[in-house]
Amino acid sequence: MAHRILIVEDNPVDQRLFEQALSDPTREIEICSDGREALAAFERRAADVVVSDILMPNMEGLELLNELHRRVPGLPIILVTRFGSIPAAVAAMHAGAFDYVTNPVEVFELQTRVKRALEIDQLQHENDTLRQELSGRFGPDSVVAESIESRKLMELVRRIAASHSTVLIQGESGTGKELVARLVHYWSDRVGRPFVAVNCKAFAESVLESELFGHEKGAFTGAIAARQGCFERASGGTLLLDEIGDVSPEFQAKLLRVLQEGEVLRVGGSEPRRINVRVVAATNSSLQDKVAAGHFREDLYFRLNVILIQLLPLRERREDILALARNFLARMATEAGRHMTLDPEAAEMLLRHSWPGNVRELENAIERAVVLTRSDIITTADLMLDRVGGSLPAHPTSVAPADTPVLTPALDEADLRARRAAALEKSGDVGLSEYLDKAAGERIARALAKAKGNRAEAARSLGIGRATLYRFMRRLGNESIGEQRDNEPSEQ
Amino acid sequence: MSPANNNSRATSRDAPHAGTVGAITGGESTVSLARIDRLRNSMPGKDSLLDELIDLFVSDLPKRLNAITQAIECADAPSKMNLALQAHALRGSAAIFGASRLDELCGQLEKIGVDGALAEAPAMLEELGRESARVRAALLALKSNIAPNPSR
Repeated sequence: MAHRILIVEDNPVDQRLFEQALSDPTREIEICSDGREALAAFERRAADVVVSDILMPNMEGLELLNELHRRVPGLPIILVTRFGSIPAAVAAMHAGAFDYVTNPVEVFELQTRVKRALEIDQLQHENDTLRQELSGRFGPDSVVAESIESRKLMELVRRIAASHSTVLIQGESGTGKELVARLVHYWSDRVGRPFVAVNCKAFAESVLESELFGHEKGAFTGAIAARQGCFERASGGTLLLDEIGDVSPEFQAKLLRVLQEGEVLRVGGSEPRRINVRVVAATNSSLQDKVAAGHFREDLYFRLNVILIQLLPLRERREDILALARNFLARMATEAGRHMTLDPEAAEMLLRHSWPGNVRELENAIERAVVLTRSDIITTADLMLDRVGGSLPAHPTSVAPADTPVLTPALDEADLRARRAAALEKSGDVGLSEYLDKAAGERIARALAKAKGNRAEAARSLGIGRATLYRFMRRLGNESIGEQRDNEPSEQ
Repeated sequence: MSPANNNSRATSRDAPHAGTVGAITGGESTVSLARIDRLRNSMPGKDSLLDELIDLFVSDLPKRLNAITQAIECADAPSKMNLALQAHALRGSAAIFGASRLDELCGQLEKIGVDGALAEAPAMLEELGRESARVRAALLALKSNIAPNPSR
């Protein structure tokens, strides 16, 4: 992909000289006469490097630098200062400029600094990606694929990633559609560019349009500044449109136009912007059925369904269950600096369960067990799956059943086990996972209260990693745990 | 002209009397051949660029001079800022060709614009006009003498 460079300079001699000095087949250069023009050009399409004079009409170089860094922190900006003007050079560097060149500009100096900025920008992209791979667990070696079906799927994903086609991923909730979409991105040549995921169902129709296509300043009440949409933010990378089957026919028409034309029109805007984005759509329903029922446009379906990936539910690839469970357990235990294992009966219990919530349910069950247990061996008592069979809700919420007894903060292991048993008696099958989540949430709340809100200390006292603690709190909702923490009497 | 001028000249990397450098036209410091040579050598394969830069300078010059004159005559706060901006822009172009005297004059006007003390500015306009004309003539003369494939 071509690197984009903005040159911001108001004298035509410098403009032309800089343009010629920096021109290269791998670069795209845009000239702007002042800061305001540069900001508009940047809003239209972000740049990789900006070379700007320090003194210009409308908006000075340092002000432009601040505005651009507000949009993209760390964007490399090279300021042109006057030769011998040490204060200006110092001010530029203090303000966060990547570098500066002095006027009269030596061509070689300018070329070298821009080249270095682009190289560092590229390294930064790669570094971010590697970090994402490590922390996000999307490296090729870390994908758990024990069953033949999953191994075939990974082969397919690898082949698909190399192409540039639009991909449609279908599968039940919790089967890993986003993970597969990320693999399509990270294993493609778009790696190093953004991966942006949008859950189409999570937004009201009017908000979704602005979220995906962006909006101009003043486009609607509250639009106090222009904003890029997800299509623009994913420039050069991959955009996941999750829950695509749930968008309205009107929105389908707008989306189709974007995919056909390869450009987006911001809400309230008049100039379409070219986009270079690979679209991956995902749905937990059959789009073909929706087309047949007249709820989904056939033309959009065919545009999205260039390559179809169908994910199997966990119950149809049982060889993956233990491998996944051990992988989750190892990750959470490593975070906490512990070594944890599943006892044979717990493993058997995992294999027997029907996993209606698929991999997400399995991950939640392991996470909950890790939070609740004080031993390094996860037992059937920690999992509590045998009594609930396949009826465990796929998406447990933090809301406990109305008749759930209020747990006191003073929970110990015996307490927890007794309460689990009581929970079974009391709640029956339905809502058990919520109940257990609540028990785990209370244990976390108590640890947080003891640690006076220090999460690292709370995680340590629970014997879990901070990441596990955060994930759990996120899943249950920080607020509910926070409220419990705040209301608890301090034991100190 | 003043101590400030000497300081400014001392910081210039392209003083016209340095090394083998000489002025194109009669004056002591119209444009710097060394600077222009270095510019040309730094852009191999772009023989016509210097011509193009000279054309841009020549066509932009009247507009800049006019804007500077108007800003000095108007003398209100926005005009003072505009004086600084216009002088800064012309100074940038002058520096590219090593037009050190024009560079100095623009530098002084830029400072006057920023400081807002315009008292000395009208007197400088005449010299600015004269020096700009000399630079323009020198560059046009240079342009007509540029060999298609310089071997320097």
